[in-house]
Order: sequence, then structure tokens, then C-alpha cells
Amino acid sequence: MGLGWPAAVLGLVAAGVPLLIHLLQRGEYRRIEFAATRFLSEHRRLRWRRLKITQAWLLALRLLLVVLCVLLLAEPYGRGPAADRGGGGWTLVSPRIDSADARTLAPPDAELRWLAPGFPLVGGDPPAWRPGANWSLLAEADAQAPPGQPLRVVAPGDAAGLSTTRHMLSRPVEWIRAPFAEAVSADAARLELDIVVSAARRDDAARMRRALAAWQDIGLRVSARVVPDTDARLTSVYTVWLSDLDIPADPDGARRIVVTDQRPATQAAQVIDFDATGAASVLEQRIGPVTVRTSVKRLDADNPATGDDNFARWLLALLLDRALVEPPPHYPVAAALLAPRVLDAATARASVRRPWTAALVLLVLGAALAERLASAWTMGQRRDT
Amino acid sequence: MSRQRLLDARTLARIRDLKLLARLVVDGSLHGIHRSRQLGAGMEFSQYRQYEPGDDPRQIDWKLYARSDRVFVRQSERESHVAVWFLVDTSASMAQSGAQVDNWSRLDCARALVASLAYVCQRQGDSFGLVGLSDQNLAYVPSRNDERHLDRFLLALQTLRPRGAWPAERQLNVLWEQLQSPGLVVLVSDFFQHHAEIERLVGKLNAGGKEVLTIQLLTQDEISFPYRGNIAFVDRETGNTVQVDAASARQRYLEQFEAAAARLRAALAGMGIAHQRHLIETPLHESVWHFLEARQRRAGQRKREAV
Repeated sequence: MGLGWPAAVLGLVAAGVPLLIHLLQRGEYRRIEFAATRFLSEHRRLRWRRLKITQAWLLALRLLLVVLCVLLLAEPYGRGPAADRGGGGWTLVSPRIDSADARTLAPPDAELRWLAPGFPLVGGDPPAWRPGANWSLLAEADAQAPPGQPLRVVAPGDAAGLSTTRHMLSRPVEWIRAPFAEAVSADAARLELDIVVSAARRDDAARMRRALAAWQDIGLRVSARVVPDTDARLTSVYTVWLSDLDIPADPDGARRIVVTDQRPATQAAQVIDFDATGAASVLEQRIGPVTVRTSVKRLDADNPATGDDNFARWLLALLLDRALVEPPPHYPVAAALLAPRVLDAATARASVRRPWTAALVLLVLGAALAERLASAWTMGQRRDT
Repeated sequence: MSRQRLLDARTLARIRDLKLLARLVVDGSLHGIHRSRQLGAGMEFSQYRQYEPGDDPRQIDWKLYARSDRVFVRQSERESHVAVWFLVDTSASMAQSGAQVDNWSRLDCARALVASLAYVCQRQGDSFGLVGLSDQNLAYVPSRNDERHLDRFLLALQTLRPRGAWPAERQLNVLWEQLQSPGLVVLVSDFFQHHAEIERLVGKLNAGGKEVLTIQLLTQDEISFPYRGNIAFVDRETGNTVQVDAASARQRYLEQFEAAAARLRAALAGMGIAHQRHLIETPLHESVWHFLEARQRRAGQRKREAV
């Protein structure tokens, strides 16, 4: 058993509260005038001992309640029985991995499938790889794979950072890092984007296009098209908007992602990242199906970052939500967007909800009910006198 | 069905006029008892005794002397009357009231009881006096039997207040001068004593040739100890406070309480003293009957002594 949020154990300090209340209440005495007190005076010690014993069970009940609540908050998990069985189950292979590599890396009895729609068995041609789709695929695979079996993913080293904690899977995910396939087809990894630019900023667009074209780290070919803002429509899914004209609403209602350095018109923009000094560096707002991410600094020649090697990486991170790349050191926004939480086994297991979380909730409710009844009973007894 | 019902403590607590209360209690208690009608009225027996030096000359039957030329004293008529002394404990513990009846303390009950008995005394032609016993104040009403005496007596009874503790032995010395005439002593108290001091007083009275009737007034709570939970019991008389978990202290309390009661009963029985326990929440008639019995005994004894 492990804890998803070990810091919650500090909540056990709260167990001191009922203890304190009990100690204080013990000093609370009703005063009654009683002439026959002399017949009471000789056995005080006995009574104190008895007092401790009679109320101890109520105290224990309250302590138990606090401990159970803390346990519930700490998100305890247990390894599923299937996770201990070793092999078997699905092993999903990223299309960017050579199938021979995957076979050597995966356990011998594993069922190898491509991490692609339909999860075809590894053996045929690798399916085309599309950036950004991996997450929903993993959730889908989790739903389709035989239950109780572990899920393995063979992915390139830089992809192994897919954050799993935000997507609650029903089972632990084991990540196996693999090198890229030797030959990644350029078509398979083509990303097309438009750079909409005003006449005054043609130079900025050209520089940006050069940077994107030069960047092919993970086999992702970016082809950028420069579009003058006189014919400004969002035709591509991904658009960089370097113009002072308003970003048009998308006519066909399809999802569009726009990166711009234009100041947002409304206050509805939400800060999604900060720079090293703590100032807002990236804002995001949604206009219908269009997501607009605004860099607070202008993306022109005055901004030294645009000449940086990592600029293209950062730009892609903004466009692709979570690009499959390591965070570039100079761009905190990329760090937040990529958020490649390293997924070790424990983190993967943390996302697994074992059924006894529900049992724990029931226990807490039961203990709370018992505590209420017991204390009501005790109070009733006191009122009887 | 009897017209006059026995008055319960709740009713008694509401009656402020002691005289009315006494009449109600006594009439209710004695209703239907024929014997009681004869108690004070007709003196069926009188006898003569030869005059002896020391006899009160007023008791000499001069008519008989005129007829027989010998001096006799009439005894019977006077001897069938009894001098009754009511000793009421007025220490602070008498302020204890029960939970069942409001405004009805042990001393209230003692007042009602003594008033009723005094009323009986007056009807019987007995003389009666009152002593309130507290170390702070010894109330005293001399023993008389004239017509206005009952009012004086009741007034004094009304002014008794519970305070202080049981008087010290030397404070009680004055009693022996006041209670000279042999008669019936009724001691009303809770008998919560520390060193058998109440027993000692009773013993002395008994040894002094007086018929003693002791009435112990207790509350229902003292007998059953129904308390639960954490309670600080405060003894007003001693100022002691005892903090207990009442439920767990109950067993020991009851044992101690009953042990003390048994000791008291044994001591009093050893001296041949009639002892009666009365719960202040219950009607008074039983105590009235006990008093009448004791009084009868006393009267009978006096007659036998006279013979």
C-alpha cells in the first residue's frame, strides 16, 4: 500500500483535537447541592479511574474517525492483483518506434499493439503518427484492454513524460523508453501552420518560419505558410497571428489554436504561465472554438528569445498544448505547457482507483454515524439526571 | 371515600399558613381513627395519692380533704397530659430540597411536620415547646399549653432558617435546664452526623428519663442517588465539594449511606428509642401516627408509674 498524497499524513495532528476536547471536558462538572456528600468523600480515586474507562471508547471512536478521514485524504492505493502478474496484457508501441525495438524491450508474452486508432497488432506497417493525439488514445486503450492486466507503453524517450495523473486510468501504466525509429517518414510527422502577418511585420514572420523549418528534432516536419492579413481567415488548425487586426471568429466552428502577441481585447484572458520574475508571460482566452494564446512579450526582433534555438520548440509547445518535447530552459511557459511529469511506477499506480477507496468512504460515514449516536447517547444520559 | 385526602408534599409546599397546614394534615391523618377522638378529651381515670412533701400544693384535692380530713393529690388528670419538646435540626443540611417537589426543603417538611404535631398536642391539652438546633442560633420556645401558645409556637417555627452546623456539646448544655420536665422529645433531623453527636444527644435525653421519638427526614435523591455524569457535589454545611462521576460512585455511596443508616438504627434501637425515616416527598400522616403512638406510650407509662 502507498499514499497518493503522503503529506496528508500530517493531518493526523488533527487527532489531537478530540483528545484535547476530552481532556477539557473531563474538568466540566455540574454543581449540585447535596447534603449527604459525606458519604461520597472517600473514593475519589476510584471514580477518576472509572471515568477514564467509561469515556475511552467514545474517545477511541473519535480518534478513529479522524484517522480514517486523514487516510481518505491521503489517497491510499494498493497494487491491483493483475499488476503483480508480470507479463501479459497490452503493450502499446508508439508508431515512431521500430517494431523490432519494441519486441526486444517488451516482456516476451506481451501483446504488442500500435498506439494508433483501432490499436492494430504490431506486425504490419506502422500507422501514421499524428502529434497530440496520444492522450485520448491511451485512455481508449485503457478502456479496451482486458481488465486486470497491466498496460505498457513503449514510447520515445521524450514522450515518456506524458502526464498520467491528470487522466485517471484504471490501471498502472508502465513506460518503456525506446529510441526513435531510424527512418521517420516526413509525411507521417508533418505539421502545417499559417503565419498571418501584417505588411509591417514580414521580417518577423520570415524569421519565425526559418526557425520552424530548421527544427526537426523529433522527426516532426513543420511547414509554415506566410499569409498576409489582408486575407485573414483561420484556414489551418494552427495559426500564428502577427498582425494588429482582430483575430476573426472561425466560420466553420472547427477547433483552432492561435498564438499571437496581440494584446487580448477582453479581460477574460487567463494567465497560464509566468516568467522567471513571476510576471504573467502567457495568457489564454477562448473565443468560441478558437483558443488564443498570447505572449506578453512581442514576438519581434527586439525580443532576443526569437533568435534562440529553442524558440521553435516553445512555439510548438504553445500550439500543440503539450508537445512531445523536453522543456526548453529559457521558456518557462513551455515548462508549464509540456509538464512532462516523469511517470515512475508509483505515480502511475497513484492514478489507479482501487475499489476500497469506496469502502474507506463507507467506513468514515459509519464511524461518523456511530460517533454521533454514541455522543447523543452519552449526552442523553447526562441530561437524565 | 374519605372527604379529606392525605396531603402530598406538592400540596403542602403550596400552603404558606402553618396553622392551616397543621389542621389539614392532622384532620386528614386522623380521619376515621376513632381512638384518636378519645385521646385528649375524656380522662377516664383519675386517682388520688397521699400528699408527700414536695408535691405542688395546688394539686391537693381540697374537697376530699374537707370530707376526709386527709390530704390527697389528684394525679391522673394532669399525668395524662404530656410535655412535648420538639427539637428541630436547623443546620445548613436541612436546606436540602428534593428534585421532585419545588420549594420544599427538608426544613419546610420539618416545619409542616412539627406544626402538625404541635396542633395535635394542643388538641390533646399537652404542653409543647420548641428548640431549633444550630451552632449559629439556638431558637427556643418554652413549653406551655395555653390557648395562644400554638400561635407563638408556629411563629417561631416559621422563622427558623437553615444555617451553620450541629451545635457543639457545650452549646447544648442550656438544653438540660430548659427540658427539665420529663416528657416526650421529638427530634426532627436528617441525622447526617460526623461523630455520632446526634446519637449522643438522643442518648442523654433518653437517659434523662424522656421518651424520645426521632424522625429522620430524607429526600428521595439521597436514598436512590439517581445522578449520572460528572457532578461536583457541594455540602453546604461543611463547604466540602466532591467531584465524581456519579454513575460509578453510586454503588459506594449507597453502601455507605445504608451502612450509616443501619448504624444509626442499631444505636437508637439499643437505647429503646423509636426511630422513623420519612421522605420529604411523601405525605406526613405516617409520622403523625408514629407521634401519636409514642405519645400514647408516654402517657401510659406515666400512668403506670403513677400507680
